[in-house]
Amino acid sequence: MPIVFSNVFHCYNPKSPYSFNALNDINMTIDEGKFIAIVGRTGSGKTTLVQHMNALLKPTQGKVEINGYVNSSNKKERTKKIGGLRQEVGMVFQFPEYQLFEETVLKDVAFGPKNFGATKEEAEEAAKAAMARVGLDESFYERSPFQLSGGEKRKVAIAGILAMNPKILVVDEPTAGLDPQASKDTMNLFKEILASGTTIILVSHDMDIVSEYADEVIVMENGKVAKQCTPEELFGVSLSEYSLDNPHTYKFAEELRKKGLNIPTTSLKNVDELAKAIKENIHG
Amino acid sequence: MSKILEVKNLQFSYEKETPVIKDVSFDVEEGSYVCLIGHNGSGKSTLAKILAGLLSDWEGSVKVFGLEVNRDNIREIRSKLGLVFQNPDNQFVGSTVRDDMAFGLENRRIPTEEMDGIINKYAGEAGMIQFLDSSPENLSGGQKQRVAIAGILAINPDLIIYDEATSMLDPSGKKDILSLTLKLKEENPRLTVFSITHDVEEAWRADKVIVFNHGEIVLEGTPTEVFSHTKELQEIRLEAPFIISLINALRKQGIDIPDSIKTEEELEDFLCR
Repeated sequence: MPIVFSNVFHCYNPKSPYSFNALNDINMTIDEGKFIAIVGRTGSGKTTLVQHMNALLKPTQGKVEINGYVNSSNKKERTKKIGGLRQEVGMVFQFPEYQLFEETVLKDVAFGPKNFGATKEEAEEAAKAAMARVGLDESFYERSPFQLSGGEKRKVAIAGILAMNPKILVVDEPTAGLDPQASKDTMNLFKEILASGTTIILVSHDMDIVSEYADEVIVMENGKVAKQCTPEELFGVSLSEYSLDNPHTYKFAEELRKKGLNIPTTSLKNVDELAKAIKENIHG
Repeated sequence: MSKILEVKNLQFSYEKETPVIKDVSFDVEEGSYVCLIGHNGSGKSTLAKILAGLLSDWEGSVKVFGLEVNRDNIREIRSKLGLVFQNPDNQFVGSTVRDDMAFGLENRRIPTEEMDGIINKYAGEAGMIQFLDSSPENLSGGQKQRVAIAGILAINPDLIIYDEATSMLDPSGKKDILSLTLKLKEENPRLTVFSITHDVEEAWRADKVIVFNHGEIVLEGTPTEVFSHTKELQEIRLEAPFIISLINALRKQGIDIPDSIKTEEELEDFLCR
């Protein structure tokens, strides 16, 4: 089931002097099983948008349909027990390691499924499976989450969401504060989760990551979807109108073009693709 | 040239038997921009705390401005040293940028009538003058770090230490702080910057790079020297800057790139020649 937004508006502090329209008439469909990136400057509505996907927020107008659930401004239309949606759409917020709280890693990861009604045994089993998926072995079960390194803590937080077996995983700036290698490991983990059939929705400012991993990009601007397309379509043009930066590879290709070497605006996900494109055009 | 930092045979452990820093020695010259890189948990931040006198019981010698870091000297050292920490939300104390900067000046007993002039001057240098009456929640992470830097500039420091000052910022915030740092260095050649970071693009712009792994220095030199050790860096899971990665990828494609190429512009010109 895709996620469908129909005429969605969201207004913070309505009917007050501070009222602010964070979403302005969003209409879009997000297909399942894809790696979707949501980009846009600070304050463009990215976080508000994703919070409608698991009903942390409800629209002030319009509706969002997700896996048979309806998150609507209209009470009659709205799914009654919408809390179940939070199990299907897992959300990993920015700096999720700050939300760890249990005495042991295993208890922390098992908290989610337990909260949604699993028995202790079922929850621990789900927790162990989720920990294996993120690469935390048995030696971590009884350790305190607070004694782990930054990258490990983040893995624990992600495992906690995976333990609920979500069909859609939303991650907000998952690599902020991680060193380059830990960032790469985290992104590759999402790629594996994607391969197992989970839709990944990534909110990020890092265009190098977006270009390398995303199948589709949604550009938010002033509470509207300004563009929904593939990374190649997006990064082939100048992004300054959305006050976004092109990925490093695309910027370099643009400079070469200015100096007379014609690099086509095809996929330039990483330095290897860029080097290949240069090779093909330097001798041809 | 005088030495701003002198670290000799430094050893430190939080718990006995597991040393976090093992026999580390290095110098930082006055007016230089030195980056210390290493992955999460390599002991980088512990080193920053020792330099700022926030830890005790280490072995070896640590001198800042030629003064041994100890209880007698720490006040004098800190009066000329500014620290910028990782989390921009943890270092804002005032309700506006102006109040935040005034707090630091009050602590140093600057007379009220002089404050406005000082605040305007350094907020201007840090590019935050139009935000003086903004409250922190309306600032981006990069702008908050600019405020922290402005507050430090106001004490006229000889040394600024960044402890992963940009690691929580998005790419444009990172770039923003890097260009501010380079601008400040250009305006004041005596200013020394010691930056603990995992941003290799920042390290690429420094005068000297020190690579830390498991509490030891594994590589030290100019960015060009250090980042030419591709294999060693890969072994300790550190990335190369974009320009180095691209040159390596081009060589893999059989394009011969001379060693003399150091900047993206030089590489562009070479490829388009």
